[in-house]
Amino acid sequence: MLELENAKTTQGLRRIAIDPVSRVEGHGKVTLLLDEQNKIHQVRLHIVEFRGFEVFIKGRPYWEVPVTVQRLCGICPVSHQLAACKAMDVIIGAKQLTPTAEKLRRLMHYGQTVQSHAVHFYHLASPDLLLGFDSEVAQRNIVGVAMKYPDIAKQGILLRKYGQEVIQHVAGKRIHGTGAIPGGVNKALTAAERDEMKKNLPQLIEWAQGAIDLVQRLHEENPAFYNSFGQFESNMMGMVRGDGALDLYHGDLCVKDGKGKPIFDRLNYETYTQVLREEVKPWSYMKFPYIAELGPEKGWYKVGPLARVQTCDFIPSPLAEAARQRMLAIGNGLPVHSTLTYHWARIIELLHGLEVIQSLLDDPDLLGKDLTVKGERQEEGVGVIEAPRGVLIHHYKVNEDDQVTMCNLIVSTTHNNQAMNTAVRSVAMQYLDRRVISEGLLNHIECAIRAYDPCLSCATHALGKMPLQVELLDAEGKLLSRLRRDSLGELHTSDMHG
Amino acid sequence: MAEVLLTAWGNTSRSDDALGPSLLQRLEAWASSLGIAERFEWVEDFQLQIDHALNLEGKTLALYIDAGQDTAAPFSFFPLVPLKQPWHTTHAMPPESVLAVFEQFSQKPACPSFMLCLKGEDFEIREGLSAAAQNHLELGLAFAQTLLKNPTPESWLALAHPPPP
Repeated sequence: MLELENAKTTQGLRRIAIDPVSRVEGHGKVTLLLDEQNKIHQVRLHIVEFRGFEVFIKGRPYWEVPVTVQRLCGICPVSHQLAACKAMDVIIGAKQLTPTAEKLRRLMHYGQTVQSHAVHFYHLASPDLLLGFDSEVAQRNIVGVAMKYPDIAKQGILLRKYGQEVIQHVAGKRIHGTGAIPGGVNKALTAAERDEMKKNLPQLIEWAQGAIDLVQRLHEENPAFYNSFGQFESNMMGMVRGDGALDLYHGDLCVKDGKGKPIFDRLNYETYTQVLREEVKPWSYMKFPYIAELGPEKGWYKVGPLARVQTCDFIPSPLAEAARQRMLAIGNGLPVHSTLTYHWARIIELLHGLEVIQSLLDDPDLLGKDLTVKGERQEEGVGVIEAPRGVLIHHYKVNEDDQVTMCNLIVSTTHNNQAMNTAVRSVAMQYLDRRVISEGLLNHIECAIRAYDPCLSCATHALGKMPLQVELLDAEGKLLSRLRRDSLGELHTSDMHG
Repeated sequence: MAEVLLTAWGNTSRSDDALGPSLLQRLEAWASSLGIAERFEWVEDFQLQIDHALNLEGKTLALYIDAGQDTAAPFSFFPLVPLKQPWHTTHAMPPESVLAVFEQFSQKPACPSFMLCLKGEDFEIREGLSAAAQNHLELGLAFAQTLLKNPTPESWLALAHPPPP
């Protein structure tokens, strides 16, 4: 039994809900059960969205799928497109893409990594890191950062914009483009487009280095806080190249335990069904994956930047690798597991993405015209990619009429489900247990979730405004008081007594 | 570089929320037919965000176009003032906040900026404008063409309504 997942009894406990969790992609909520002394008995991160993609993809022709699955998400559509394309490459027998096609796909993918990591760090996380976890809630957002740290906010905007421009040049559109197709890509790059992307790249790399320095400085100024916030050991999964290098586009899966010892040193991702299982829990729509041979209680793992930079042996770009070594040094020879270190790792990957883009733009293969291949038709294909948030698995079966008969997707955030739940439980015990609950303390829980950059949407798109509402109920479920933050950031309290 | 910025936003899948993008597209087609489109920078998006502050760099005049709920019919047109305390949410940011962020970024005043707000009636998820919104679009388009024929702060101010309370 995982600690704090299930209270021994719910009688006499009151419930606090953070619903929805803000500054993450999509909708989720956190519930806490507390007794009269505010001792915490249960904490759960619930994912309240329902995804139906695996079902309604069935019956569609396979060549539609890479375009359709992009609609899973407005932040990482390129990852879904590329994971689907990699699976469909197998279906159409395209065992080896042309050098031009693979490099254009890589360019698009690393462009997306840059834009996604920039959105997360500057727009979503920096308000907490720069203004304070319990700072004035109405100012704790990107506009608040812009007013206090205009240079940093501007750099974030321009870094994101650059990533979007790279995607646009390769895929034709910033969002939901059609650049990658089964067997390759459908658009060659022009010299003018390449030269446009080269402009300002040294400046962007300098800004990314500045962001790493900023995060490192925050850790150094308050190591006790940064090293202990949501700290827990877990297994880690990431994709690596044959020589052990970090590779976000293609490679084998590597799984290490909490001490850094390999569980699977190299795993061909096409065999994922043999090693991974998914557990269903009645209180969440999101499944809980785990390594089969370790079981659900010991086999869960982290994915995403913090896992990736520690499952690989090195990052194959010099500035990012040097930054990685500085980050690893805080672990004194052991893996780093503190939740806020995700931000540090994410910015290292942002720098790595820019270095890879720079290297690709200098490669003459990029302007080639040989864009597609095909071979002997297959019935089944698995495509895996390192999306910005972690390992993304697409698995399809296609019949002789070219219709999809089976689709299984394990998205990055699903892999992190148990890790996020453990993080919020750890932070709840550290900061909320037996204390008077305030909005600032509740934001500590949101900060733990945000560090994972979860993409809870992946099928539904949040429409409307994003208020925060906390309700206090008695043991019978009667509403005692309500704290509501409206779309203007103003707090409203309703006391139901008397 | 164009000195006049035209920015419209809205979700074209939510009926009358498409008023802003629809007007901008028709306006750009009209300006192209007259050979004057290059005098303007055309920006269309789902929602305003902090990024749009950067579009104000080097501009002498800006027009923001959006659909409004419970606003004056068929449209209202009024000058914008940067907010002293700008606000923003994940899904919305008013143009007054965009102007304030630009001033903070650039440490100089934003150019004279105006809002053209077309009244919508239906914001449910469906394609196509309601009949009322279609009428507001036609009237708003004719008005916007008048604005573009004489894109100066003085002439736009002369046509402006008082800002809504």
